[in-house]
Amino acid sequence: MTRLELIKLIGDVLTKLDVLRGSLLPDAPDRLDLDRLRRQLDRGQLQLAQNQFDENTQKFQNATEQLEAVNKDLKKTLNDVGKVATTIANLKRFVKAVDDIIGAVAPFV
Amino acid sequence: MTNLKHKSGKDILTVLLLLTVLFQAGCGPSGFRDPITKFQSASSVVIASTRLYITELNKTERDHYIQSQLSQKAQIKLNEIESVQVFSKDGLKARLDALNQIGSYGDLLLKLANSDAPEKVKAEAKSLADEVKNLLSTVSGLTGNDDTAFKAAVGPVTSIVGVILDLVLQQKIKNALDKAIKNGKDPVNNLIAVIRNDISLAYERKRSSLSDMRTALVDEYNREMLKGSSADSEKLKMLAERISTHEDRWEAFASGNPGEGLDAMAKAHNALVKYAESSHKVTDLASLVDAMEAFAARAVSIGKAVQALRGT
Repeated sequence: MTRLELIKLIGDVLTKLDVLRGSLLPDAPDRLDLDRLRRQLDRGQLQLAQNQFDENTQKFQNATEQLEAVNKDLKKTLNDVGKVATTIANLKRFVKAVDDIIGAVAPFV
Repeated sequence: MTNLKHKSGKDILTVLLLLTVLFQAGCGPSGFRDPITKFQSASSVVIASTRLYITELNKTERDHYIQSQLSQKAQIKLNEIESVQVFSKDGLKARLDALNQIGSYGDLLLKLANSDAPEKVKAEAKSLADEVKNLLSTVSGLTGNDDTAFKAAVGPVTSIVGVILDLVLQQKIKNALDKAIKNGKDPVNNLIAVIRNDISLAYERKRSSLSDMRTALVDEYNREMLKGSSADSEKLKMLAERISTHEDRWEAFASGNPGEGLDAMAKAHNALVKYAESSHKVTDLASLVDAMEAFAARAVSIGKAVQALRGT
């Protein structure tokens, strides 16, 4: 996976997550968690967009493979307002996987 | 049978007439004016769209940050507003200058191939050489982490374009063309690809911001709606209209990626090089005209979509 593909993938999750958030009322019990996770993911995407790094390292490739695996699980429920609890659990894994990628490529060159 | 013969003869005559018209267009300078004009105008549209798009992007990032702090009732900090910008002012200027110069270089290449008005070509080469020097100076001052690939791609282009321009100034047109064909194509395409990559990153950030704004606007409406009978009908109407306007922009956004315009620009540049390399046959000119038509059409559709995004 390239840096641009990674940023696109995070963008796809963000846009689907926004549809989910926007399908729930602002005071729905799960909104706080979803909003917080959205902010974390957005910060991660911005950090990856603002910094160039070597995307050919084994560490980066391994970390993005982990992310792709979590993304497969996340996609199963992200569009389903009836499965928000599972989505939140997978989103937490997804955010952690993005943080791991940032950790694998930082400090930025 | 007679009819068939007659029909075949008519077809051949039509083809011959068409070939004659194309051949005449291909032999005289006037035949190239249309592709030159198309390349110039399509490049201008793509560059202007890219400029507008990136300028709007920085505004979107700022607004996104402010909206996000507002929804959390959190402190707004000026240093944080500055830190969410994707490109520095200098980084942005350097990219747009580089695109302008690729556009001018493409025009020059086409005119060299056409050997149209050598004195005019020489004057244009001089002006482009000065612009290249200025770009080098701007690029050498870039220190951002996001500028590394761009800086690396600019060097080879300015170097080869400099050599080509020197040859033009010495009126060694054939040598200049040979150099451009043999050594210019890859560095120029690489630079377009690097800028395209930067623009695609910017596109993704804008997508994220616009998407978040969709939820924020729906939330504002729903908060008012939840007040039930005490909800303000006029305010609800205004909030619904804001959702509607933003959804229109969201739809336009999908077709307004200037990166696609840059892809078309790279293809048009390849067609220019191919034409310069050819022996100016009718088919070469026809391919060039087709490539410029495709570039122009893509530029127009992107230009319209980016215009629709203004103010987001």
